Amino acid sequence: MKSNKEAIDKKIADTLSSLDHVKRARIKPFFYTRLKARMQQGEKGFWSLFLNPQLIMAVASVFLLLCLNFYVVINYESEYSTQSDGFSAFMNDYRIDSGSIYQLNE
Amino acid sequence: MDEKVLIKPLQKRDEDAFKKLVELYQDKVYNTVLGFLHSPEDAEDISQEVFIEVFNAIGKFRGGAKLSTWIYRIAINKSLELIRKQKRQKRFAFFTNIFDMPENKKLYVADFEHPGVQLEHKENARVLFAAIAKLPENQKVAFTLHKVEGLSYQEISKILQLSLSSVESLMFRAKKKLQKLLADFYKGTNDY
Repeated sequence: MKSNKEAIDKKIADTLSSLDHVKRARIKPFFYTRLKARMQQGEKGFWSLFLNPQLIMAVASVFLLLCLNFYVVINYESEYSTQSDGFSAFMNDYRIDSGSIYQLNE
Repeated sequence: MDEKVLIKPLQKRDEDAFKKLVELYQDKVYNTVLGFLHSPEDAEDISQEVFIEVFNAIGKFRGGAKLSTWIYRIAINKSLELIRKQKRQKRFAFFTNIFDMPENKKLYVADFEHPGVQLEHKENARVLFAAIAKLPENQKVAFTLHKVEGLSYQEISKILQLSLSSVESLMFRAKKKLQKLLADFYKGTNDY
């Protein structure tokens, strides 16, 4: 059991010291050329930002949601007005209004 | 080459000075960024962004700190921004999988091998890098700058704008946390 713990402690110490003599990673050759190309592309490509597929997807989703909202609001209003028309017709047919109710009670 | 000589021409947008600056710092920036991101492609991409930021913001550099300190700060911030972005993307992986966007597929590299590690230490270093990735952000930064980039505690304190004792404390806590993470890992794998 003790040797097991010692083995783990040794492995941890070895692992922690594994970066002690690490050499600096070197970037691939011609980095400056690639950097310049990107900087020049960045200057030209302002409008390319708007061709980003994620941005297009986000704008399309928002537009779709707005259209659905608009559709629901319009439908709700027309349905409500149809219902209220039916209700007034019913009131007229049976001559029910607030005045007639008071007259009956008298 | 003295970095102070470069500042004035850089502020005048001198291309030769910028080229010299890039040649002087490209490996330092790349190595630092690679230490955080564990992906050569991402490290190259972020290194480019660091130098673009340096070029665009050099006019605001007032010389309060060394140029190298300022560049390291930009490199750290850019790296941490990308790590946070990758974590956010991981959380929303379900939605991004629906839209199948290729840039979201590679969120992190589990088995990263630093090219500067000696062959006999490769396996241990791979485990250590995975453990470093689990450290809190400030401990991760201090530990990576010290171990991977080989900066002294003094240099790290200037970069992070902390006192020397705060950096020592960060390193102490990072080592403790790593010991615990590694102990849990090796107990679980029996690979020792």
